[in-house]
Amino acid sequence: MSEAQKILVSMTCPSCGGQVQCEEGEDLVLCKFCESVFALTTDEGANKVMYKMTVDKDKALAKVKAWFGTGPKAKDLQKTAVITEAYPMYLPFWRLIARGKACVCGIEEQRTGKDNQKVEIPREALINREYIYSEIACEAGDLGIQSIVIPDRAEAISYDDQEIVTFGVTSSRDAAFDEGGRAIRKTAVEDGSARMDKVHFSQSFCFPKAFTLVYYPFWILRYTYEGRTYFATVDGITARVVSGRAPGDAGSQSTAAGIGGALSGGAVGLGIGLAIVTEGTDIGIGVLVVGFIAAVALLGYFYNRFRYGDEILEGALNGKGLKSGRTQKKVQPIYNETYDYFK
Amino acid sequence: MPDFQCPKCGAALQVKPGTQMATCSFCGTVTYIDRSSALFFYLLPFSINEGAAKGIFKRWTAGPAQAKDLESAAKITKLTKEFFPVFRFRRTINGRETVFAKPAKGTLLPGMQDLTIPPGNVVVYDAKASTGGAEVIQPDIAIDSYLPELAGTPIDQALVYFPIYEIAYEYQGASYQAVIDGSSGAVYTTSSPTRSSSAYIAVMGLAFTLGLLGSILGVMVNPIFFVLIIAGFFAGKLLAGKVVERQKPAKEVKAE
Repeated sequence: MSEAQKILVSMTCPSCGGQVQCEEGEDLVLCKFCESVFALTTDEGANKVMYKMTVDKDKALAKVKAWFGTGPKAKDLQKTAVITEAYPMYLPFWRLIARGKACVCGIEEQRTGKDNQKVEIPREALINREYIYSEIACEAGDLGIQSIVIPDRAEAISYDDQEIVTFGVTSSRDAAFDEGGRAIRKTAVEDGSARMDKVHFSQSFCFPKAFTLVYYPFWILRYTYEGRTYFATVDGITARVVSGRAPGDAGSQSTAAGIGGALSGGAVGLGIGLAIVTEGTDIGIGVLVVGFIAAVALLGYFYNRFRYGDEILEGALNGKGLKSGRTQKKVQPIYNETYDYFK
Repeated sequence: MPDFQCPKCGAALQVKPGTQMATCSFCGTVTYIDRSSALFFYLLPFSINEGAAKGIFKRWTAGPAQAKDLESAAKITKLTKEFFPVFRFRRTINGRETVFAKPAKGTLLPGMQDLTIPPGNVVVYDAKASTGGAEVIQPDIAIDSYLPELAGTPIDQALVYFPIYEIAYEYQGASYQAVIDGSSGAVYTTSSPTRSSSAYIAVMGLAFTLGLLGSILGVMVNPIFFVLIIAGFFAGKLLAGKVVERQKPAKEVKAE
């Protein structure tokens, strides 16, 4: 027997010696010959589900071309970008469905009456919801994808039925399971404390229902613009552009600098001017405070657009650039399974 | 890596990376693969070609953190396509599956100390695997130097070769290094020529000052001074345009 053969163990029924059929992730096996049931004590693995790619290449290309025209991207992107390659791929995700329960006690502050008096109202929330957590089961690399939402129309297929490139799992199952439980508990507490200004007590629990390894389809497209290579990814079922990098627009960068600088200066100036003219009355000081806060917010927002607007980042991407679009969160609630209680 | 045979019928057995069960396509026997004592060799193929790697590098040089003229002035002096080795261990530690990586080769290359295996299509690395002309860097650290010290019991261990482009470039007489992950396109660098934010701050500061003066004077002296806010906007936009304007790379002159 060669070295390689030593690591192969033929699966036979311990009672009758017949061959048994079992698959990855199963921990109970029924022998079809003698009907005895036995438990597998192998390393557990995980149940795998793969979803069928329903978006074709043309649709993915069309979606990315439409995406070129959105947000503060280079104005001539739609005209001059050349899509150099487009290929489908499956990415692995750990997916935990669990009931998240949380008890949160705290205080909501309200201002009532003529003199704007602060009133503290004690609040209590019991959260009892179903949540889905998903995280990518390999390094995210430069793909900008960290999580998925599986649409209702997604069609599950057998794991082996595909010829598409499938990225391998490189993260730990148990680590993902623990992280999912933590994230769901945290979200349950956040959902409970949404209306509270102060939280005095919180306790949370997570009751796992299902944990699977999901292979989800995407298109990845690479395109060039002025000799630089950028990319975008498209959801293989919903056809939404999930992530991508794109060149920014110099015109909107400089406009941001002008608007942000002049408006924030104007806001502070208005406050200072009024404060001096009204000789420090409440109105003047009020306008100054409001103007100052507005100026800080405006400056921060527009400076970011000006300074980092050379490159637009969509999705969960690292590096300097202007974040645009929305990033899929790792935890989503299932709304029709909620039994919350608020007091 | 040696080929596997079905223990029942002797036919060739397809063993996919990352699976523990293999079903013989001839006799249907299910075989459990005990990976705990073997070392598997895996490879992540390149999904980015050299042209795209250069394009990704160029995109990175044009990023907002990099020196403004880096895109036009950086000269790639060396571009190597290679497979870099890392040991990946899957072990049961205190009843939990734990995955971690250890270096298989000492290196100073940017990003390679993080020991992250980039996302990719994991294939078995054997005589049949195609390396696409890339150099396969051989490990200089043996797995035996890790095994005795590792906690827990093994599930499997593998030597994973992942694809990288090693780029050396020059900018203003100094040499720099960058690594591009040949699977997902992530760019790793240690030190690189960066861009100062002072010009950006100065431009917005000027627009701010004009807006501030316009408002104060507009309230206190004469509303006509509010015009300064608009002047601030245009002055800011104009100067900002200069700050973000890119130097177009010199057109290549065709050799006659």
